[in-house]
Amino acid sequence: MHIRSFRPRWRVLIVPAAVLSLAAASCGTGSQNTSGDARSASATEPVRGGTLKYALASDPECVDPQQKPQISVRMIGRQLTDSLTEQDPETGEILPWLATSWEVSEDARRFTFHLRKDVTFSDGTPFDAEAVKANFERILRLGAGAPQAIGFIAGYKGTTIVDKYTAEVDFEKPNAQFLQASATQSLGILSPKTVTKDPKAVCLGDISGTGPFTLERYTPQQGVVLKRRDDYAWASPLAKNKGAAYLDRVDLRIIPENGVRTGSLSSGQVDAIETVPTADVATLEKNPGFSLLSAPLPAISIPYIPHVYSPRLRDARVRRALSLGLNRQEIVNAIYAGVYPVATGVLTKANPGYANLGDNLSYDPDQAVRLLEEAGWTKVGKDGIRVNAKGERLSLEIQYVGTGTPAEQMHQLVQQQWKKIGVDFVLKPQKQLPDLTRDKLPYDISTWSQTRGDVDVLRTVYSSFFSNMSMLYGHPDKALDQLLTGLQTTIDTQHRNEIAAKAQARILDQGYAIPVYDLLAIFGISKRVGGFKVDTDGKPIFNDAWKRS
Amino acid sequence: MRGYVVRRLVHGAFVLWAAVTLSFAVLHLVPGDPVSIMLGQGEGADVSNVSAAQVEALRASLGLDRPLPLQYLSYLWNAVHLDFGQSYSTGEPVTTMIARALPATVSLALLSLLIAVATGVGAAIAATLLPWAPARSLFLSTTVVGVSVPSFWIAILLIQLLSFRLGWFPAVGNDGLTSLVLPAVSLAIPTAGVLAQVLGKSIRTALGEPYILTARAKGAGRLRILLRHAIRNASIPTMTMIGMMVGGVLAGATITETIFARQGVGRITVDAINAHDFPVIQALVFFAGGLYVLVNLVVDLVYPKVDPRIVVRTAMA
Repeated sequence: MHIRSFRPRWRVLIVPAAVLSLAAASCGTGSQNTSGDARSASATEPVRGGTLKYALASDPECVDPQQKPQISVRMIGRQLTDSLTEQDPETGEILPWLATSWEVSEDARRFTFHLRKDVTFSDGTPFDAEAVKANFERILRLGAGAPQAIGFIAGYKGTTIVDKYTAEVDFEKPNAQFLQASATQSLGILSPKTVTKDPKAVCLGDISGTGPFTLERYTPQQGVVLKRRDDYAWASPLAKNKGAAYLDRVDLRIIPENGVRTGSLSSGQVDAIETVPTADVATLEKNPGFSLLSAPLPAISIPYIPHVYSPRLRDARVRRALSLGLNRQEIVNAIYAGVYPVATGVLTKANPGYANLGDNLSYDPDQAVRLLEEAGWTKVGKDGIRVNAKGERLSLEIQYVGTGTPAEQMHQLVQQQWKKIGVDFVLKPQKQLPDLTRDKLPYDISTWSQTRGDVDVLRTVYSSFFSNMSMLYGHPDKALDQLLTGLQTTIDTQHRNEIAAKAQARILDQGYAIPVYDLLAIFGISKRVGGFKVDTDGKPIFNDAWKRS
Repeated sequence: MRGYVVRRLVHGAFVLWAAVTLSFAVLHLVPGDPVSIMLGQGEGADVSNVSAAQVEALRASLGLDRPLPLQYLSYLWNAVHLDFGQSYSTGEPVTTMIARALPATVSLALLSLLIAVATGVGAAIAATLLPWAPARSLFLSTTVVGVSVPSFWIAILLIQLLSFRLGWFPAVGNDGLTSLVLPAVSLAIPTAGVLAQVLGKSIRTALGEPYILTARAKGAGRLRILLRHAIRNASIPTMTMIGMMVGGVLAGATITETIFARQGVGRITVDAINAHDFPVIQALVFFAGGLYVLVNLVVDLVYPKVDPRIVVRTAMA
């Protein structure tokens, strides 16, 4: 249930990133680039040794992936420890990792994992069923201190140690999403010695896992240095190199400023960067010294969410009209340099439950106007805004944080687009959004962003179940809730996808979401580097990476 | 003299109390809850699925469930003992965090103040002393540019030219003196501009005073008049400014340290405000306020040494 920050957190300033990177990239001759949405970058023959310098966009503030849900923490957690399972980024299939196989009971309440027998933690402790049990018990103790993980094991009853290498995890209620959750770093397995330590000390670096790297040091605001573990031999099924990593060290430096991050790459001060700003994508593409890697994230497509309890949005026809009045291609071209793909459904293509509903998301202002008129917004006032019989204007407000951000620019463009169908879109930038449950927000439209490699993300976002994260909280659509609950009761992929497809169609028909575009995780990589890969939610896997000196 | 210092210290303590009280009030008035931020709740952030009881447990463990006046009193009590508790986001003792970041910010501040004073005073003198009028006005107008260009823009130009293009200095980090040059210069330029403006203006005012005419009539040269007579009198406003600049440099550090990805107190400030990390913000306000009070006290004590006309009253006036 990983969520990408849709709007950047407050920044000291916004630097025109493209300007910065131009000079550094000016040596380019415009030859072919190797960008694309492959999940790995160019390679010839791997070289052993060396330090890869990688620019992080933000300070993780903690290196324990169980405690913090942020992507930067899980990205470091991914290098330090492994998970019971892995997820194939292409198919969404769950693959064996620390667990070689598993069984799930018919009612999706009992998960039995058969574990690898040759794995050790970096502190020397062997990995076994006791270790698995100790990790789940730690998450229970942490409670809200492990917000992501505790949600994944909601209704946890206990772990039975069947034998040294077989762990049986039981839940009070069906919990089908748990299998995919076992592939996340939020449920990454830490050493039994680590889990008994003070969580704060673990956060700051007193951590031991089974991963291909160990933590050499974490310096807040500066970065994290990872050191290869020489006896590592159980790499993720996604890695080609199953043994110890090629690199001696990975030096993760925190460079929060977008333009400086891109410039550091193009001037050779770092070897790879994350979160390449869309404005810099074209510049880097033209430069033969670098390649770009864009990984589609298995998320919900970034939507506008019409609040169904807003008096002007109670009628599904109005909500549908807003979707028809949206020119998505224009938005992506103008705001995101044509880099992000337009939405073709409720979920992105990378989510295993994706259903292609692109036909429902076309731009058709005439049909939008017809729907608005049917819904009673028949007259157009002098200011071009529609009015109903009671004389109310069709004015809809959005509140958001951050001015000058791409998100705000998108709102401004949408304001113009909706003006054409007679809708007044009022932009209200805020210092901070009100801390209210989803059914009490005092405005009409919001945006949302949430990444997870499981169709269960639909239940989280579009059900009425969770007060702070479900868009229909307090205003349930019974039919939809029923479909989404069904997702939890079976682990049969085909069955779940069928349910999910129905739910997605209903979400669009009822206008609960107005999907706009799909986020990508974009990396810039020097040609000195080979074997750079990312996993399903866009976290690098450094096991295959190497660097030409 | 001692009475004056004691009185000023009492004033200083009052200023400090006002600063921490105000910051406490502002932090609790501004919407946003540190616990929600920790759990990644709120629109557009990482959201997670936690039960209400678990949230309350976390709130209680941070002491945030106590009534506000109680929180305030315990904060004041701890501040008096220089105990600021632990950061909400990292769990680290706040004093450890600040102590780790302080050397980087202090060296940045010192070098940038040094550059600012040297170039500012140099420019002011050049703008009055150069024998050719167009050259003087050229210097005068460059100082205007220095004042008006924001430091983040200078930072970007410097990185662009001296790091990305020429590769003379690293763009980011805290590794040695080379990584200090660009941030110090970009932080110094606006300060130097202001300094040159103020000092230049005071020098020109001083040069119009009758005692300068007397000195000139006695046959003193241009340089002697400036250095012996004018500068001494002109430097009082400048000294006041240097006192205030300490605050300016601390504020500027938030921007500069972010752009240059440097460790430091400025970065901690930005992160703490983003996360509503109360203990960290309150400690920062306390230390910044204390530094400000101290520097201004020192400046006030130096005045009489520079200008004997300024008398510090020892008796209660």
